Amino acid sequence: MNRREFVTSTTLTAAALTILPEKSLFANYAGEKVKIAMMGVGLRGQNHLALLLKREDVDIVAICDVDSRMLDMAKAMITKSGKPMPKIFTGDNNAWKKMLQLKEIKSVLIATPWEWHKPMIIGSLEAGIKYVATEVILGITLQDHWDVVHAAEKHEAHVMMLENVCYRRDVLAVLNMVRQGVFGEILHLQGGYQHDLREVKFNDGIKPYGGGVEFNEKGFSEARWRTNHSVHRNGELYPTHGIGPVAQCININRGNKFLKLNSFATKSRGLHKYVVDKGGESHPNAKVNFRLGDIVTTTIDCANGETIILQHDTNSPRPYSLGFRVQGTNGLWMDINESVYVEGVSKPHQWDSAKEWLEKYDHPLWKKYGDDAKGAGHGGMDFFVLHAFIESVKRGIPTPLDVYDAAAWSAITPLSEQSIELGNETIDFPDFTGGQWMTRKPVFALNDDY
Amino acid sequence: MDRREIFNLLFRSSVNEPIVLEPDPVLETPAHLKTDQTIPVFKEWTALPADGTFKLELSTAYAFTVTLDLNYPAKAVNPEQILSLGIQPEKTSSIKTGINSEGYLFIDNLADSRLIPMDKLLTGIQLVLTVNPLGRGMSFTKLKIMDSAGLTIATLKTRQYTTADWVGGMTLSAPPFNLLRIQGLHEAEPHQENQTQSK
Repeated sequence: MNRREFVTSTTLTAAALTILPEKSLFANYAGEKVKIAMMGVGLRGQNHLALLLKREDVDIVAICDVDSRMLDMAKAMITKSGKPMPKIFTGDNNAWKKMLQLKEIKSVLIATPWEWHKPMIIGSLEAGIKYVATEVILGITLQDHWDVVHAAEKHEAHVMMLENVCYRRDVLAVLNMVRQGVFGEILHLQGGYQHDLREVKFNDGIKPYGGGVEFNEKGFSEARWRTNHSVHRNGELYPTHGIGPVAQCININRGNKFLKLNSFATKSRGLHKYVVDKGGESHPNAKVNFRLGDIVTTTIDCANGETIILQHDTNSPRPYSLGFRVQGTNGLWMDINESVYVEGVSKPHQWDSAKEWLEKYDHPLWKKYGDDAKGAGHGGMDFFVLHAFIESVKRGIPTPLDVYDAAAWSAITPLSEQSIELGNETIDFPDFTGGQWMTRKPVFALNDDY
Repeated sequence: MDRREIFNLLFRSSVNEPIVLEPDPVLETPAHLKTDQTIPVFKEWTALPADGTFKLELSTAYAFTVTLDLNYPAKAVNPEQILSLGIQPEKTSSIKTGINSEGYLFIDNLADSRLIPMDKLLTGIQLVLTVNPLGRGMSFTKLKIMDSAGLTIATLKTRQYTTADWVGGMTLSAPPFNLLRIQGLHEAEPHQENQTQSK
């Protein structure tokens, strides 16, 4: 029976409006199941949980969270799936460490607040786990990034950052176009995280999005921790959705590398204004000094002569856009106006609609798994990134996004913070590969396998 | 025995104890970036103080800038221009920075490789020294020279000084000068309001 025959209908789960196929994926799988433990089953973790529960090639052996409300939601999802209830670890911030003592755990998926990623990754590696998937952002400081790289090397283990946008359908089609030379030699790329997060950073402590201006201990879900980064930090706080896809276009860490960057931040206005507008000037949070500039622009120079611009824009009213632009000697793609221009093919000085181009160059992965990905989170790309991780574990091979990718992409945050601290100084990029970037070969999405 | 077994043997006896005795991660603004309780300092001089020493009346724990605007006399041959910082009675040495006699930017024994054209020096220049704390008591220093139009001619950077190294007075080796300005921050005394000083 074809796998696609199992994917026939959809249902709504509690996890952030993820609509998933009702029936199982990989039901014919006869090999050893991937025994995975989850650290963090908040709303993002529940996205992953929903996908894992649909897979017959995965056993969720343990889950862990300190938030009883989130844990209850996760347990309800598991019960509804008919899968065995995994061991539950909770109660305090060390629960994850106790979970790691389970011998049956072979891989770990981390979906916790950013500041916990590094200790949880390294803790997992120290416990002998050979495959660790972490939600985006590897660590807080630059040293955190080195620590994770060194730990992965020391334990000869695989750390994959679940950068799902690398698998977005248009992004993969454009990567396909780049690899086929449609745009010529690549010169310049843009991306970013331009997403009005004000209703994520503040809520009423009951609902995850909006309804109040509370955060930290009075907030709920991401407002409990994410907003605090906007209080204490000023830089490109969320670079990987923007940089991951464009890094693939120019083979960063695999024949190319980031050389240096600088960042500029606007003044900080949006979060304070939101608190005052929604909660009034007398609300205690109106006195909070948010350090994060509303719009942070980062420029990166690359070894092969390309430049990249990233923009982080989360405090202001605006529609969502990652602002991609991939430009070469023959033409360019821009996602903001959904357009392509290729010299000699497009009418001179006129944009083509990107639709025909993206359909023509649809990536083999989407051609093969597009139906399976229907309803998975974030337009289906969550399916692909998790699929890549699980397939790597099953086959015992390196993950297509590795610890060096994770470190290079995520390190943009502390580097941009330092650039801004030093008056927009240009900061050298560390080489996490220790020179291996010159000889490593591209491995990401080369075919329709995973 | 694989690593998981060794790991579990090591920690079996303490199953209810944390495996790794590390504090929970805490996110907070680094001390050198907490400027809520500071007041801005802005001082300018157009002539040497009576005792010859400019007082750096700001906290070097925070970022500060020293700007020196000067014209060289047309007869200058060796255009050495030295600003000495971090002068304290108990200290035997200070930080010397500026343009050396060969026409290069320098900070103590560190010199830039770009020669500053004499014609630029004769039409007037600005030397801008910025010191940014890096945390853990260290600092990032950048010396920049701009021509009379405001175009940057050369820069020199170093991370070799602590924030404490900059504490103390300043002297200038070769007056006259047009303007010497310092900008920075100082810890506020209780009930002290923001103020701008000038002279």
